[in-house]
Amino acid sequence: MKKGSYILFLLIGMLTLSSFLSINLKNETDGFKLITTTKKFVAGNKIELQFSTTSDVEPLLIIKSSYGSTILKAVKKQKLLTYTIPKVFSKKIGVVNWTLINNTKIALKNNFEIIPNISTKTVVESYLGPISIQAGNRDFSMLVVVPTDALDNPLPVNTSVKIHEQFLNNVVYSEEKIENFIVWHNIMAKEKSGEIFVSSSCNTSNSKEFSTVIYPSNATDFKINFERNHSYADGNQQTTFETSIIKDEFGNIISDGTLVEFNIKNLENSYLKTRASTIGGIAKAKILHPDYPTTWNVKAFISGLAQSNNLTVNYKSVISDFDIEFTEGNRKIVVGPLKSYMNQIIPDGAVVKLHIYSENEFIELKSDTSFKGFVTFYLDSEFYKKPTYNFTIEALGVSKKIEQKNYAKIVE
Amino acid sequence: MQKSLNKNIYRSVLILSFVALNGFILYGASSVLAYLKTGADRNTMLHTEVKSEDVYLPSVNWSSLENPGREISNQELKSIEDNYLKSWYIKNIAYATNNPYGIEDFYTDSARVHIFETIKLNKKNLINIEVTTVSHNPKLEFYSEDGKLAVLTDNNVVEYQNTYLNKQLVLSETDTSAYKVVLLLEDGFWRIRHKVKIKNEAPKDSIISNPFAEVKNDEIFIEGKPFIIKGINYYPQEMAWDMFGENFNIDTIEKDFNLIKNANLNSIRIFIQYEYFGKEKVEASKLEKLKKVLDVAEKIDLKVVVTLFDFYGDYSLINWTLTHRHAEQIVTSFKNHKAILAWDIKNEPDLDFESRNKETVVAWLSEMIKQVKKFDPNHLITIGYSSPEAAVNLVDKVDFVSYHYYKNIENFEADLKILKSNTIGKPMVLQEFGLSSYSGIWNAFKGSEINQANYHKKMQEIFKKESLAFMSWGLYDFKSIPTSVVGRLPWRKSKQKYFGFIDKNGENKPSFLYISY
Repeated sequence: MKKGSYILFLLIGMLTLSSFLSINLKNETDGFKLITTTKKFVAGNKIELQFSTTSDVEPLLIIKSSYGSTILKAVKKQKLLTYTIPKVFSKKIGVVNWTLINNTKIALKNNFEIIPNISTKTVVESYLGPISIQAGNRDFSMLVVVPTDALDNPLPVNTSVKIHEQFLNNVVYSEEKIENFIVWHNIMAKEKSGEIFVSSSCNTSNSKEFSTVIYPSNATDFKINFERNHSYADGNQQTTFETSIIKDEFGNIISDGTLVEFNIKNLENSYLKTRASTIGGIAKAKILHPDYPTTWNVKAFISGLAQSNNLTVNYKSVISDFDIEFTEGNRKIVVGPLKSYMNQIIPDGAVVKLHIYSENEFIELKSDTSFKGFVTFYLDSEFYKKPTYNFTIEALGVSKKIEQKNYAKIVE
Repeated sequence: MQKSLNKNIYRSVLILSFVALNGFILYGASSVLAYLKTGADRNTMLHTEVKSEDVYLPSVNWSSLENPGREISNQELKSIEDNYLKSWYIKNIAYATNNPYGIEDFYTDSARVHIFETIKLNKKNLINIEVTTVSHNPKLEFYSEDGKLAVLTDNNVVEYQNTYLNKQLVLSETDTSAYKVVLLLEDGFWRIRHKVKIKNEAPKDSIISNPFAEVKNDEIFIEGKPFIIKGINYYPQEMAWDMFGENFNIDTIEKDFNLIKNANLNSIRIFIQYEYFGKEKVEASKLEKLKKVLDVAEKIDLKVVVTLFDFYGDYSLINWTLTHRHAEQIVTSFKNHKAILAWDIKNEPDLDFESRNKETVVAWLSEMIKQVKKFDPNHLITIGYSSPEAAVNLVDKVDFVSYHYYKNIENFEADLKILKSNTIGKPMVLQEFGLSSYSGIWNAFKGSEINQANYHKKMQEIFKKESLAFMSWGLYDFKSIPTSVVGRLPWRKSKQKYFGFIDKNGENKPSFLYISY
């Protein structure tokens, strides 16, 4: 008994000395002994575990690796048991735990490791995102590279990956080391808008080309101006408001399609609005002339980001006076001819308003647009039964008061 | 005349069959169109709404979310966690059945081929592998700026694996491993791109316990004093097996507890039914009621043995994590409750040994003990086996050994001696025993209240002689017994109704004199 334990002790001592790798006491129970001393295998190579045995049984070997588990049966030659790890398992890296089972009991248990096969061609898998960023020094895209060996195993820690970055005739190289299977690198935005091209390489393999677009940054304050055919308030022509070329803080013309809103305040303190999107940094918005003389105070905004100067626009009256004719017992009222600034008949569509009063009490507002310089109102006797009416008529900013008109009583 | 009638019949048959044929063609064409139009909802491509219920709930503890990439929001983290766990669940099912169903959803093109190949290999060799992971401790290593790539290290993954060859169990084994995983967000799913098993860093155990009861040799100590359980299994008379339901009445329970205390008993055993308490989503209202019961017990100074997983019968690996969550919610809620003496993991699990496979049941119990100890290191743990013979299972894992005895009283002392020699010096509790006083057609009018009283008298004499811990079954005779308890057979049901010390009318039966010693 004593002798036996001495021999065992010696045996363990010899084994530990003869190998740099630790071999467990467990490695030799029930007469089974692990012979394979390698603890690290390269992925894709043939992996065999060999055990010596003193008995005739052929135990099963359970292996558990990164993706799954299986049972292996031994090939037995004399007193040697050989287990060949199937290709599915031998080509994937990671720790592989094995358990030798003798009749539902664990005889031996240990593990080995499979490491990436760096001699095979590297495959460079990379991801870049987001693929559009804003000019300046705040925003960035991130390149993540996951290089693998030819068997789709991530490469070991500290493998270096080169990153190439091109922007406007300028190419920058940098190098990063793999950690946690990946390499990441931030691609900083530039002050100029444009497109950055990115690629990476590892162990002579190259990735495909990626690009990220640098869009101009936020708009800065800008100027506005206006353009019109004439300055008359004819309610017919259009005034065009136009911005200067709107740029971001770095001098990039802002992206097309940026919406500019023009706020117009008139003399009555009501607001009118018109808007346009930019093309080449310029937004042009149109608005119909007022139909009465007024002054507009205009300011443009890019919501929440930028604003323009204040702009004042005056509109002159097109007429000073117009004729009014009452016929058919004062029931037909013809306003006109409405003549414009050169005594031309005003273009169709000028608004004329007729305020109707009776004994200083407001009754109705009738409104119509001009046709060939005239507007006709008819006060039907069925509806307007009062004996007297008086009126105010408004057209193109001119207002005229008509004193009391008498109306004949209708005999039924 | 005859001829023209025939002709008309022919005509009408011809016309009718023409109409019918057209009708069929229209019906056929429209049902084809209707079929083609179903399921054409385009947004299903985006997987924006995936209906799911909880099927896999191992414990997950994120150790660190600090990473050199983007800061992660709770919602994004939850979705990574959810998909990562599903990748395990789907893989576990795939290996158990050798059917790769659903793998595409959680593994990228290049990762899934390894699983497919392994399944092919295992299928050919008639190997089936059942796995469940019990706990995960992931650490977020990296989360990319565009939120589409994540790397995590999952440490101390406790995996329980059953390996079958030709449907014969080769080995059951628990391993602790670590994995490094790269996940990609592809059309709404976080899919595994790389998964590598790495060397595991051993966990640092830091369970601080504040035990309310201790076991020294074969005795239970509470606050330094030896405590001999003199108890009773308890259900309120009107609420047999429905103690925490709608008729819950804490006043009745308090009255009963006073009665028990005054009968010179010091503990009770109550039951938590697995489904009744809400399975993996324990109902808050039931927990509240349980708390009230425990509070009253504390007030009256009764110790409580709480039996978990009553009526649970599915011990399959795929179901494990759900039961862990059930236990977690109940046990952690009361880990500091002074009324509790012990958690009884399950009532009579040995009765499932035959139908559910002994190894499976024992493995489940063993893991559940670990889980409950983790959630609550303060209270004792036991398992209420149905017989002294079965009570030797897991004797090294429980704090005290519980067994039930419904056999002939003559053999009791002999059986006890055998059990004692196998319990490595742990305390033993006779957790259920009793005799029905039922006398009727189903037992040929043989039972009687006198017999019952004699039985308890004899038992109490033995207990007194040996200072044994006991919990009798039960306080009350019941008016009705749910079918799930003893089945539908009337001779079983009738018998079960008459085990009490107090009869249906609330009168003490003769046995009441021998309720304790």
